[in-house]
Amino acid sequence: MRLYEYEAKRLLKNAGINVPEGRILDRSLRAEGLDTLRKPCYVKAQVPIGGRGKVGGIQKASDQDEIMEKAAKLLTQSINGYPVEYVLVEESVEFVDEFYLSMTIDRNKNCYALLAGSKGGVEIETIAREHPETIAKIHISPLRTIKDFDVRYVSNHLKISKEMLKPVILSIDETMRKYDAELVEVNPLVMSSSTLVALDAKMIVDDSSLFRQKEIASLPPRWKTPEEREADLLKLSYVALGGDIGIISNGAGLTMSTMDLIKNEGGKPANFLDLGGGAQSEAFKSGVLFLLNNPKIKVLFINIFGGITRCDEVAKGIVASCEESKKIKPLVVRLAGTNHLIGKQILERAGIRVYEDPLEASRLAVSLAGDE
Amino acid sequence: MLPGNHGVLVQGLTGREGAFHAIQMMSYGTKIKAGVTPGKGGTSFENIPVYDTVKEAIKAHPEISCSVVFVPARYANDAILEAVDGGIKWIVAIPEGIPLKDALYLVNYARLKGSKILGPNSPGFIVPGSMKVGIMPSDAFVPGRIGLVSRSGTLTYEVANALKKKGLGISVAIGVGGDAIVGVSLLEAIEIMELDERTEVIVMLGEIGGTMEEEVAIAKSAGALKKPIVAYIAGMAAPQGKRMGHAGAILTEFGGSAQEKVKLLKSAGINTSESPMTIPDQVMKLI
Repeated sequence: MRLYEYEAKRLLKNAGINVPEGRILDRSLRAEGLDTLRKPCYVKAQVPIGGRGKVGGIQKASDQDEIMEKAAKLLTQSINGYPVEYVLVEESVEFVDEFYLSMTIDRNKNCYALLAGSKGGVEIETIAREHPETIAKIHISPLRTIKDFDVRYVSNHLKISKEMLKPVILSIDETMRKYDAELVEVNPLVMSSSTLVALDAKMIVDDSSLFRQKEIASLPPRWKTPEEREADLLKLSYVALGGDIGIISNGAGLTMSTMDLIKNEGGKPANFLDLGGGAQSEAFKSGVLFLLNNPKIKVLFINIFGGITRCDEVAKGIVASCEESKKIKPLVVRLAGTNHLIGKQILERAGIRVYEDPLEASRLAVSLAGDE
Repeated sequence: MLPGNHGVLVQGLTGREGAFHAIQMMSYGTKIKAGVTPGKGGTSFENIPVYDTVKEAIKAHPEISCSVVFVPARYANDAILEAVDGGIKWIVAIPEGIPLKDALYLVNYARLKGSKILGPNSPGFIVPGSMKVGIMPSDAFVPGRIGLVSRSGTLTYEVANALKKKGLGISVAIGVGGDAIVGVSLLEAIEIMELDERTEVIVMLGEIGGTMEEEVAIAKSAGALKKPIVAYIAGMAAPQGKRMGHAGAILTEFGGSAQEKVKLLKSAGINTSESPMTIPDQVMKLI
């Protein structure tokens, strides 16, 4: 789960990192405490995606009226597909130097990684591409905490005194582990009248930890498309992709490879929908209905390799959804594995043809969608 | 090397998943010697003795060399630690949804203690005709000379089945797990197959996210891997920033796309397949 900038900053502030004085506004535009902010201010759209500065998501305002005007406008806009539900109004901070500091998980080395860059304010991927020598990386085993020698190394690299840097690094480390984060990023970290201030912050919390991260789990819900909201309610593992061939499969790898099959044949996958892990007929029924109700989907391609998931359960779910739905769309079903012959019988009795070869089935789905 | 078929412990034996798969494993020929379910010590399930702790199980059955963990994700951390501290050298972690922080700690702690964790979120491993430790459906696997290593369960079954249809069998299949942090990498699983005399050709099923496939490409380029490899990477059509089912299957701004992986593998001299269904034909050419 990606936190909004203001949420990440609140956690970092609690851990002892300086952040600009700021207020949060939602669409009610109740401006409590705005008058006590030193002007000029920045009005910053809170969206869970990068690059907002380039599309007008961060604006300077010199007085209260301008702040309100710009905030009100941003709160009616979308940034890179995400409607702006909150804006953060912050005092502007004068600074002399910008740095990059983050902690993340190194999947290759199975440890934490501390990244420190002497050029901040630009996206990390840009820095990494154009000035890799400005980034120092330290691997930190999860079996230990950050030590003085780590801080010394970063301090020498960034040319910031150890005394100033240490509390910032320790706070990032603490926040990272306390909140089960996958990423805590401060960019830029600026030097402003002899103190380090986090001007922007990004934080991603591990979804698998939300059962124990009560504070994170109770944050306001992230914005979702109506489709994604419904998929959440139905507890579906769903990602929209924008094409016109609906996809249902079981297991993440098989579902991805089903998308690839469709794409290889010249089709456009509409979604990723994984009904794996021994799903029963009810789950298949709601999954199929969910896609049948999507007006953008022209054809449904169901590709199942039964393991724990039984093909007879899949077939029952498909038949039940077709009986219930009034929307008629071509279905292409491929069954293999556990109980596929029983599944085939059930479907053929209902007039649905079943394929055994996924290539043949995917070709048919693509031609039915008329994508070729 | 993978553990031999000497003795397997099932942690969470009396739970729904543990019970179901223990029976499947036994009927496949896996020697399950004991189970652990806290509070059920002294009872038995299908003639398998159940213990309260791993320590007690090991004491009574010192031949145990492998444990398979079916404990629900939020309790799995302790179960895996208990197996490591019990001195078990191979731990197959089935549950999906173990927090990353726990997985990071477990994987490093196990390494320090000389244990290997397969997974988390692994379907286990199977040596067709001999033993299986995990949840793979046996029907798809027939004995043969192809080593299959994968980040995905169902995709493994699909490919094993497609190979079977062409008369090709499996020497060993290892599912390394779909999470972002796993104990045994694709490269380590391939290294096991390099040493396995029965394995002639290796099939690797990767997916988007992380750098495990890149590691394999680097090892191959360096000449460290001798046996021919056919690779398929799932997720060519995946968008950036969205998790595709598996916790580990996410494309970030730091890379990890199927396209990049395929390019690297190709330049390392690894055969890549456009689709899982074309793998058998490619393998045939190499045998």
